[in-house]
Amino acid sequence: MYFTLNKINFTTIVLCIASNLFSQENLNNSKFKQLHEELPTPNVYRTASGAPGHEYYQQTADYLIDVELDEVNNIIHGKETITYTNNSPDVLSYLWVQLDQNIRAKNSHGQLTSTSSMGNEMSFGSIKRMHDRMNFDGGFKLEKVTDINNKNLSYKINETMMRIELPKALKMGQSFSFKINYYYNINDRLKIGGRSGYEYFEKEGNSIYTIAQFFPRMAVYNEVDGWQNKQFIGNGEFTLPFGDYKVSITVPSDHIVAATGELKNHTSVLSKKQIERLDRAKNNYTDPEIIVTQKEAEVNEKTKSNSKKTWVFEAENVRDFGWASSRKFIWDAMAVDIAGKRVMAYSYYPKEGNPLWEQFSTRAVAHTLKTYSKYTIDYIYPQATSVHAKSIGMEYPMICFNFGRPEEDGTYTQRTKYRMIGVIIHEVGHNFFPMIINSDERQWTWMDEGLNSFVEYLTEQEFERDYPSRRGPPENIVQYMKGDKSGIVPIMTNSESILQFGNNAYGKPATALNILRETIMGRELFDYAFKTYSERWAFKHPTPADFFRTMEDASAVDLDWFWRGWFYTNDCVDISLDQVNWFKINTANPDIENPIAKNQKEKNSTYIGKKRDATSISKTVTEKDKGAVDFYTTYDPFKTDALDRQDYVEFLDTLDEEEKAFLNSDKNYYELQFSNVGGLVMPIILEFTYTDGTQEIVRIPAEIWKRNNEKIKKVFILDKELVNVKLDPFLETADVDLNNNYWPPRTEPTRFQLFQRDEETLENPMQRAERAKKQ
Amino acid sequence: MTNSLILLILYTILPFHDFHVSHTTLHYNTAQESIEITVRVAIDDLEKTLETKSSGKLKLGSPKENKSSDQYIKNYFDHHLQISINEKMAAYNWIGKEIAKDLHDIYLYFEIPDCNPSGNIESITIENTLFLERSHKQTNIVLVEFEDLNYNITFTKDYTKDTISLL
Repeated sequence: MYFTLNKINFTTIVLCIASNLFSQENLNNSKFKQLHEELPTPNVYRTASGAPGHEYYQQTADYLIDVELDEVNNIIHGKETITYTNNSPDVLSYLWVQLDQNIRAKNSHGQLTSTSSMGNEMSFGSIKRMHDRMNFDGGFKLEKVTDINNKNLSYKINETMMRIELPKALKMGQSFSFKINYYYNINDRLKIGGRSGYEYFEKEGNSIYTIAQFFPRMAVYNEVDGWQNKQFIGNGEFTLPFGDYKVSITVPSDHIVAATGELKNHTSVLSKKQIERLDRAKNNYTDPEIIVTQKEAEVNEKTKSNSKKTWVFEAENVRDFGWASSRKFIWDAMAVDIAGKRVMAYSYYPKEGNPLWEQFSTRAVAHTLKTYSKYTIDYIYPQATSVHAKSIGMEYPMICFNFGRPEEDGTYTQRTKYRMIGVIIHEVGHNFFPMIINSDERQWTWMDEGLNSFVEYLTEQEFERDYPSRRGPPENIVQYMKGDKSGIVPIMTNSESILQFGNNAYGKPATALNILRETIMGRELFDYAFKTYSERWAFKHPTPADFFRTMEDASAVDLDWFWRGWFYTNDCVDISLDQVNWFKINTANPDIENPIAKNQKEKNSTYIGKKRDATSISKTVTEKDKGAVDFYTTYDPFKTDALDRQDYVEFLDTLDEEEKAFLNSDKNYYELQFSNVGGLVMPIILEFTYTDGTQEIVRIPAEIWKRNNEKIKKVFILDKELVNVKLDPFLETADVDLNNNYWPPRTEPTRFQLFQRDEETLENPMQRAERAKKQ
Repeated sequence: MTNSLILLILYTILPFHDFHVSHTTLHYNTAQESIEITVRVAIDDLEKTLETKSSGKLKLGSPKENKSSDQYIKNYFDHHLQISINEKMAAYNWIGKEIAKDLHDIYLYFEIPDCNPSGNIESITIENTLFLERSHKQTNIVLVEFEDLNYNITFTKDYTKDTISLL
């Protein structure tokens, strides 16, 4: 049974379609092609489901470290004992140790491989920075490398990596302990940069030391990369095994020290009063308690002690250790309840950080621990610390260094406030990615920065409604994704080769996960899968494949197309609504259809000559001369006669009741045609507006593109007539061109035009408040 | 001498987590025959580049914003974002500025009015040296929207000038 359809009206918008002329038709280039060829073959260490396999292993490195800060000469002196345990089935004949400080050594690869050029104009600051960097005598100076019996070990330093020859090959289950004595010059962060170093306060001659990468650290060995001994040259951060640490830090006795782990000798470094306050803080889950007040810190920083004190910290199952020390520190603390367990949130900051820090730092730490625990795993470490450090945000286990400094007069901008809370959330959040869910940063920046920026977004939005988050909402990534392709690389690019670091490794993956959560998987399926990934890989070393596979394994959503498009290409989303065709069913009733057909024909005969002829030719031959008239002269094909009606009745007799109902249903059939201009296949989200003013949202999964990745049609059967259709009405897909998202077509005003239109009303809230006060 | 100078230089670990990118859109408004210029840039980059001893702090978007901010911005852009139409340098007007929702970036608006006196735009030349004196890693991305055509250009320290032929 066939029905014929009347095409009622049509609008055609033909747009340039980027057709891939060079596609190799003989190969499977489908955007839905499964990722088997890109992902490594599953094995006993890592399963196809994305979980650790039954033979999964990881190495451990335990550290005993004694360091001393020489604040007069800005030198760190250290002695360490590393105990390395081989849990792999492989026999190791040497170990690789990371000497990250060597990136600041003269003529390091970091310096030599950084491309550079002179500009015609260079600021005094950048020339000076250049000289400071060149003149700085950085890098580890090793005094001795021995086994546990002080017998020298043979070693070879290659830039930031050191190979230690093992006296005897290390078999599975065996451990080897060795000792290194060393020192290095601490870098002035503000002069030559760096993820650690000191900030010097010239007025009073004091510094804040934020110290990390301060000891030779074990490299990771596993079945993925063997030894991860890719040199540290700047962007690719750190890849480290887990272990237990005992670190004794000797500093001037008037310093306050913050560090990874738990302080083990309170009574010898803290005053009675400070210990009392700390005990109070342990039971205060609502407000930060001050342990060292601003007044006390201000008195403290006026003098300098010549004596020393040693602070002893211990940390279990961490992948690194960081610490900070200054006589300028104010210190506050608050207890946080994580699944019934007490975790301490600490903040250390100088008076220069107030009033912002005393109000927000510890609160932001506490909030971050709670929110991340909800989306990933319960925070297991005993504490989390935020230390004030000008112009950087940098993370270590249980401790991070964060910017955010008010003006000297104590006022601060909205921007300073929200960026400070944002950076604290971000860096404390790094406790989860990569400190606990310990991905390989040297290889993949996005695995910690991207995932962390995503949870940072969720955490910011829970901190305050409409928190001005920088990364997360799809519309924020549009400008990057529609940009020049020569300036963009796929997310799956090694950390050192990334272009536009922030957008590539932070913004785009965070947005991609947001889109998965809100648009493709839905919150429930996504949150379960994301939590599953976190639980599976907490205190282990995940790879991208483990993440991709787990997200599918735990949700039953095939996401290969999504990973392929968003992570392996630099395509963007640009779906175009090209055409809308409207059909109604031909009822076959000649009394209804003939007038419609006639009307349609007349509407279509709009040739200008005919219109003019209607009046300019007063009479044609057949109108004047009856002799020239026959049957065909007056024949009207649209005229309904008795036979037509009889045909119709006979036609109706052939139909059953269901078919008759169809015939008279009066439905509207809309055929919508879409093309994929940007390259990424994505769900199609439509907003229909009907003639009666009502609206409806229709969501179609991305698989609509599965057979044709470039052009598709879809028919919608609607009771009502449409007045317009809008594609991606909630801006949830990061579509880079909204001008092809409308039927009838419409052009979006540019940001410039919007600004010009609203210029009169543009004034920031604080400016307005100021103006109101003056009135 | 040149060789040793180049060797001397520079690996940058700038303040960490600090990435320098500006985005500029030149949109040709067919009806008005004008070019609408929208620049998106980090407030930090803009302030730290423009602030000198004589200007003092700019404090953009705050109640204590420097009253000459707009002038400083306009002057800076006159030197560091130069646009020529049919090989003739085009002057542009200051329209205004707007802090982005994320409080991290600022939008700057300029306009080249009546930029098509001959009735035929054959080429647009852009010389973009924005913030290069501050960071040699600065990337300046420009999108030119001319009628139905889009042109994307990425400017860096080593690539500061480009001409788009619209013939």
